Amino acid sequence: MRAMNETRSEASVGDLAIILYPMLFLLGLWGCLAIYNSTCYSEQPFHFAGRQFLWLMVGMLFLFLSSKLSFGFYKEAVFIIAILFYLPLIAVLAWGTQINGMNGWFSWDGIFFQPSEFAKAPFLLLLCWINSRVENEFKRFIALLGITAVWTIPVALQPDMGTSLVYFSAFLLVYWIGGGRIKYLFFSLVALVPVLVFFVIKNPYIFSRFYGFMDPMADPLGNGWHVMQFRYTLARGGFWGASWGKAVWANSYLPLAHSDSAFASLSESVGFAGAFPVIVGIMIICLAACRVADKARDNLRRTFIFCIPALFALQSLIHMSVNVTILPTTGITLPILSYGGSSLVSPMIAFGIFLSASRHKDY
Amino acid sequence: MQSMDFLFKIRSRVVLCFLVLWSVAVSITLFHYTVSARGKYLEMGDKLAWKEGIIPSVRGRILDKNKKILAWTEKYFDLFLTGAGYIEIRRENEMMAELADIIVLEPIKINSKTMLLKKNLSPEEIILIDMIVSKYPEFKIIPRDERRTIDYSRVRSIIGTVKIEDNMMIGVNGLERTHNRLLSGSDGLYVVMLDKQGNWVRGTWKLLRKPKPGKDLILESNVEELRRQMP
Repeated sequence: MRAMNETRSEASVGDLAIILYPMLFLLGLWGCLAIYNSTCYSEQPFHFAGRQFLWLMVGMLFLFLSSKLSFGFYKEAVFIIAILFYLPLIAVLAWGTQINGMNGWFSWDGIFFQPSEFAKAPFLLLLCWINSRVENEFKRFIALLGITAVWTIPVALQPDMGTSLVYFSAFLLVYWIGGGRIKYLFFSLVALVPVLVFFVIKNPYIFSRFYGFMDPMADPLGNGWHVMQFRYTLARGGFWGASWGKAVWANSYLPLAHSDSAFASLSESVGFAGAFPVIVGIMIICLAACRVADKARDNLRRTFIFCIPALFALQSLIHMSVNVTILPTTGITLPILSYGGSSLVSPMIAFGIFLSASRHKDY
Repeated sequence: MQSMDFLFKIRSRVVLCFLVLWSVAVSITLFHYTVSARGKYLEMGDKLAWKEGIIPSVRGRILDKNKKILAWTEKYFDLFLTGAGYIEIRRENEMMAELADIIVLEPIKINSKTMLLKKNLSPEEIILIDMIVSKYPEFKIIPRDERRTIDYSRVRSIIGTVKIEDNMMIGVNGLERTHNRLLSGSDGLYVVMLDKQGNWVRGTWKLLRKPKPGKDLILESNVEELRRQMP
């Protein structure tokens, strides 16, 4: 009976890799298409899309390599990995390059490296490790919250609020999935309120963004500008999308069309027919991961297997929701599809570790 | 351990349901804007981005009976700085420095917001500054038609003068006024999409109506006879 279970589980893990590799590659290609269309009226129409394709190849290589390392290695080296990826978060504040008002990149000879993107998987691994090790409920909660604060503060100081939100979501996800108490979760959310209030007072533009989101038609050329541009872009895409290379709205009006507005830009190029499969694809990855996580025996592995795709889906849904205007405008990229090596390679590495965790004799 | 397994299953299903419901909401909204409400938003977007413009017709020439040209129209291009005084000083200095590296500027203040930077740009200068004008939408190259006449003052007073109103040349006196309708022609009309800086989006220009040039007016006298007509 056990032998049968093992065979069935090995097959499902194999299925997962079969689903994951082509799906992530297709998502990456779809991203290249969106990036080409959103920059095709620039002086060098293939510059961004070409670079993204190169990053996609690098990402696929890292996906393969990180999946080949045993999960035992990640488990043993979790602290070293965490420190290695945490230090750049601090260093970037002092020696980082500022892009779009954020001090979040290291630059070297035209290549940009965003440490907060690469730190996501090690941070999640560390959270899952602490969650599986600390038995006492209250101590576990405090440890997870403390680690989250330590990792989120340097990111918030850049200031990169989108990524900070993802880090905090990772904490909520791990604590919830790991069997945390609802009242502690509630308290942590309540404790977040003064931080949010302070942040809103320090950044009054948030009010105008919120007003613009609530009633964009009231001020379509001012506060509602971004929201209206997203809607116009989606409308231009229609069901089948604008002709190849004719995504004029993404080129001319969308803010950061190839990164923070990648989904709207993609929708203009390939329409509902091409954008809807992206949503379905992300959910298929989540559902498949959930099936595999159910079979994992140890808590660390199970939580990690579930949380990696769930966090990926969460970030993607926040990005898409902003782009279809059901959430107020916030700068967050669509993992794998948005332009940038960091935003593409780091989820690939995360999925590589995810595959490594999924491949185990325990099943 | 079994209770932990159960708890994990329940909670992971809750998260999955939440994500699935969220993705359904995203899909429905996406369908709404791309299909259901598409027409409304297309129309609103078009109103915002598409602008109509006039292509002024070329005013006809005035010739004497020997086909010597007495009055004609020439097109010039001037470079302006718009929104002067409202631009951040650092940006304005940067813009002007980039421009001054390429062409010699002869600035003249037109009003509180507009400054004429250079009159009568040559085609070579237009090509050189094209990139800077696209980069800084505060710079505008504005075409201007100018009516020129033969260099005889007596003949000039017979030919008359023109003024420009709403981008159109209108005869004010002399032959220019008497034969205004014949010389004027009719303006053309185009439509183009503008980006958020007000620059034309490449590949979106469409001609709606061709301009019809004005007809030439041929006089029954030659230049010398015209000169003699005047006291």
